[in-house]
Amino acid sequence: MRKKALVIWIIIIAGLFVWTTLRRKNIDEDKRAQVAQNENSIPSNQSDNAIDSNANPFPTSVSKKPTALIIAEIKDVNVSPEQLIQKWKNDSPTLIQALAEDSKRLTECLKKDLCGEVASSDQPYFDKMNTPSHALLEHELTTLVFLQEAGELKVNQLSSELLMEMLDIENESIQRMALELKLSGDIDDQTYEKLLNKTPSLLPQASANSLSMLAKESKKSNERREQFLQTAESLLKSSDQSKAVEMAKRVQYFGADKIEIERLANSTCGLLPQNKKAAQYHISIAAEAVGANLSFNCQ
Amino acid sequence: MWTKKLKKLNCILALSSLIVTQPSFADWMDKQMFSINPSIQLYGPIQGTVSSKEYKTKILRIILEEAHEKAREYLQVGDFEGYWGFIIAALTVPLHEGGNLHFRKVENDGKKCQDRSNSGSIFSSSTKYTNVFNRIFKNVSPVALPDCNVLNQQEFLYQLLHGHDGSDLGIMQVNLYWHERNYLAVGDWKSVRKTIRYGLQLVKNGYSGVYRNSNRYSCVQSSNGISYDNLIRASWSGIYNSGNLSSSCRFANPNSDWAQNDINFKNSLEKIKSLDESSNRNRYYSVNATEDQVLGQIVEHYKNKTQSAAILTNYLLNERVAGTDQVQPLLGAISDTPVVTDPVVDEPTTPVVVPRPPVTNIARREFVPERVYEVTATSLNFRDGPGTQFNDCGNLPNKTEVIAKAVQGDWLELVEDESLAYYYESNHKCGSGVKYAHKNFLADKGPLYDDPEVIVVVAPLPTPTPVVVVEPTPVGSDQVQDLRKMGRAKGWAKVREDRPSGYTMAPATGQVIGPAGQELIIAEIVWNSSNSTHPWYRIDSPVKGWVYGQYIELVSEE
Repeated sequence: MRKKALVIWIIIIAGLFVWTTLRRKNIDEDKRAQVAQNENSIPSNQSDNAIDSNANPFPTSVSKKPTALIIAEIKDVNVSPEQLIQKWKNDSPTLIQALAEDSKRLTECLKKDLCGEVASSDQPYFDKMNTPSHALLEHELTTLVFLQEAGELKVNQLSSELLMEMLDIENESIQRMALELKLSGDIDDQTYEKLLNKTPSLLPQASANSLSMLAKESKKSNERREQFLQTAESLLKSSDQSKAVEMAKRVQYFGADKIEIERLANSTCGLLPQNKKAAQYHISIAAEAVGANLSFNCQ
Repeated sequence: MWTKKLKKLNCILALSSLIVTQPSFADWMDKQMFSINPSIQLYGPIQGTVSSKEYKTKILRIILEEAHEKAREYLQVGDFEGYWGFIIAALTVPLHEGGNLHFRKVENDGKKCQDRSNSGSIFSSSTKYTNVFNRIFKNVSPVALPDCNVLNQQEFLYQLLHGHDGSDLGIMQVNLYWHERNYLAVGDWKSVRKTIRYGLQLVKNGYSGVYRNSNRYSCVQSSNGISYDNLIRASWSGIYNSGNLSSSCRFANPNSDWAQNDINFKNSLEKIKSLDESSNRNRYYSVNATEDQVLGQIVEHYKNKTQSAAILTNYLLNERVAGTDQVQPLLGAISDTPVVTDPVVDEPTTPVVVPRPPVTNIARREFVPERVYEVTATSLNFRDGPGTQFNDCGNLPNKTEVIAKAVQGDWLELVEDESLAYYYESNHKCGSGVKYAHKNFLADKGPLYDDPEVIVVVAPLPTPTPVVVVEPTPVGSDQVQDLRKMGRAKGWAKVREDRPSGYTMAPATGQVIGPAGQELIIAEIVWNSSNSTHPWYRIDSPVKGWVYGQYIELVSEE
């Protein structure tokens, strides 16, 4: 009886050993197959680099970094936007994805609570429009603007809604660059109108710059141009007179004709003396370039 | 800036002196310095490498050049009060913040390098400042601020001013935490000029913010219009010291938590305002004879609201101060023996006519030989005087070439030739004198005679000093004639209003260059930082503005 039981135990143990050995072998083969499959799925440019190591100065593992690690590189203050782009030139979509992700995070946290930045009672200085998080977002937008200009950034790679949200952040550079990214390529009437409506509420330089950048689009129809001129006039009458002066400085970029310039000139009468002097000067210089002679009827 | 001021430290010092042996001012100053790795390139001037008077003269020159650049927009439109107000603000802030000191060179007696400063332990109570300190000065190669035991083998030390708690840096006391990315990381702290430029931009943000909306700030309003003394105080109390435009009138509240800061700043402003007296200049701001005279007159002009900027623009145009505009490496590797010599070469009836700056005083730069310009506007007026109030004689079509012989402010003086004569409109009233066109719409195509040996001569008027000027000819960066190069667009690229500030892109003008092959005239080439891969180009034609170097190739050099 005892002998029988012992034989049964030996058979069970041997069976278990054979089963686990076979199973481990299957798992290892699955893993190898998966690794092989992953290796085959490396983008073609990286496969090429494996052949020509000079073509890619960066190890393949760099391109495999998860977005979080790329974001750490983006945040490195000692790396310029140009250096970042240079480093990721063979995998700009990954860089763009990381920039998009982090700029979304920053936009949300800046709007929520300035990303946790709080004033200190023993320090007089607190710039709620230029915190380190603002500076980081500016840095990320600068990188995206560089990429856009280089043709690496496609229109659909950045959320249009996110860019519109950035226009609500009180920071001149962020507003300007978000606008610039938003204005890449042709824009439809709806977007044009939306941006033009947003323009008066932007900070002074951004609002004026918005008009410079929309000037070309405004010439696509009479209706667009009229909306454009009305917005320009409203800036000249804005209660924040910095906007009037900043806009007047940029009339030279509006491609305005004599009649349009005269129309804008007539909107300068209500400005403070120091601002009237500046605005009228800049508008009259823009008039020079179209052979117009201005008179300012302010009485 | 922005945190407690140096003067507060004086108070602490005074108190401590009652308890312990009174330290000297020199001992106190030693504790306010970081000691710099001598292999780091610094752009001076550096106190201790030249006489005190020479050093102050160089600093004054840089402040005036940078202040003038920032204040040009007021002068350009004939707003002299605004201009002089900003110049006085620009003189006051660096004196108040850093006592006009940025770098100094001292003999290394074994005590000058402060472990507390260079190790970063000065920031022990603040993680965020420690992190910035390490990122910028320690975790870089080469280490910018080595530990003192490394530097103690040096015969001399090169040092950088910091505030009492280390959080503010240099002549403008720029805060490490708030300005890490756009000031420190781009390396601007290594340059006196760039530090002044960065700080003055913040002063300008505060100044302009209040000035343009003076009706909203009761503290700057007076029975005579704007109180420029108070505008200067507002620009410091607001953006500069509190980071907030809405705090600009803080100085008017004697019960504010920061009232003492504002009083200290007022005292610095009073010191600058007293410099119309030569005895006060000797006492507070002793500089070389020419600069001494200019400094006194600047203060007089501010006080008198003089409707002329000739004294300053002529000084900037016609005088040079060595060692203020050159950059070169300071020293060799850290193990090298330090170089002992100064290393830095270093108004109307209806209709109302637009008010213009008076034209009785003229800035003139003769072109020898005359230069060819091309019209970039659709149709450019030319007039019988340098301003839009003068008669319009006719219109020059796009791409017309004209010859200019001199510049008066923003206007070019045209040569009367057949080309110009062709475009006269017979029905226009036009005087018989010299004709002018606005330089914004004319692209410089080079000397009339293509002689590489001929250089443009910047000739002062033949009249004895003081030379008279009203509208300024841009200083330094705008000396287009000396820097002109030809280039070609590599493709379509955006044109911007300015080069970047730190890593922040300047506004796009909405204009572009391109397509590939388009000829460009380049007026200036500037590297934004040592981390840049391409420089920025200021182009003069076919449009004016800044373009990133990646999209331009140089095709010739003159």
